[in-house]
Amino acid sequence: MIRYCFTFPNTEKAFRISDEIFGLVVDTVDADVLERQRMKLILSELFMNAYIHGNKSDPAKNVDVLIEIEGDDFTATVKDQGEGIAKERFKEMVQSISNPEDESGRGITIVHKLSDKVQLYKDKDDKFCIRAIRKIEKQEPAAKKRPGKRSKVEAM
Amino acid sequence: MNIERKTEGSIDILSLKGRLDLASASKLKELSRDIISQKKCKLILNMQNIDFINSSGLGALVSILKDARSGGGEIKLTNLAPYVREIFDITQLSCIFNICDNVQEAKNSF
Repeated sequence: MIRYCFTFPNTEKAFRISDEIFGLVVDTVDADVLERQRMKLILSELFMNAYIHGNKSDPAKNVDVLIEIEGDDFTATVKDQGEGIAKERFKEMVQSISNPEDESGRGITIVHKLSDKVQLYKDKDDKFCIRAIRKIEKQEPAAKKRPGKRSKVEAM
Repeated sequence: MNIERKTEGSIDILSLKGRLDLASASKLKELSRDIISQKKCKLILNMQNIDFINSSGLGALVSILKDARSGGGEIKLTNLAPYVREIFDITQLSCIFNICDNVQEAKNSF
């Protein structure tokens, strides 16, 4: 297993840097461009959710990111210092997009759609964690997609 | 993100290059403002060289679309990479945007 652990300050600058770091990490994965973009997007959306909604853009807080790659499994775990999202509320958020013309509120839906499993839990330090697990599709033809796939939501 | 503007008759074309995310979303909205503030604007957003887009970038596109519509204008998106197209499908934005294969097709469709 390959593991990458990062702790970022909860700032917009760190958000920009984190995306570049995630890009470098994901580019080491044996997968085609489309699949790598999906993994980068999962990480980006989880980070943005933690930065804006979890930590409320508070620069005194941190975002912890753990990326694990084992065989065909890609796992992204992002922790923030916010109150978290109740499992039922999360389910409501991802069940359907209420209005495609809303200018926000798509991030978690994207993570859900691109992941095989999403887990929500508080860790031993009382940090709120979202873990997204995706089976890496290798050598996938660009035309073959699975956007309609829905992941399971679990609270631990 | 770099944005190149070209005007052909009554049609404005913005060619986007790079990442459309939290950092660049406001830049795109700012640069689009004088185009979409015109009545009945015709705007093409060429996405050919977008190599990353996230929900912040999508939100910026929706904002531009709504502003353009309010003035009776039209927006067409072109050259969506498979990855971008997939995100549009996931988020149901494919239903609200007019998406063309290329700039020429978009120009012809106004």
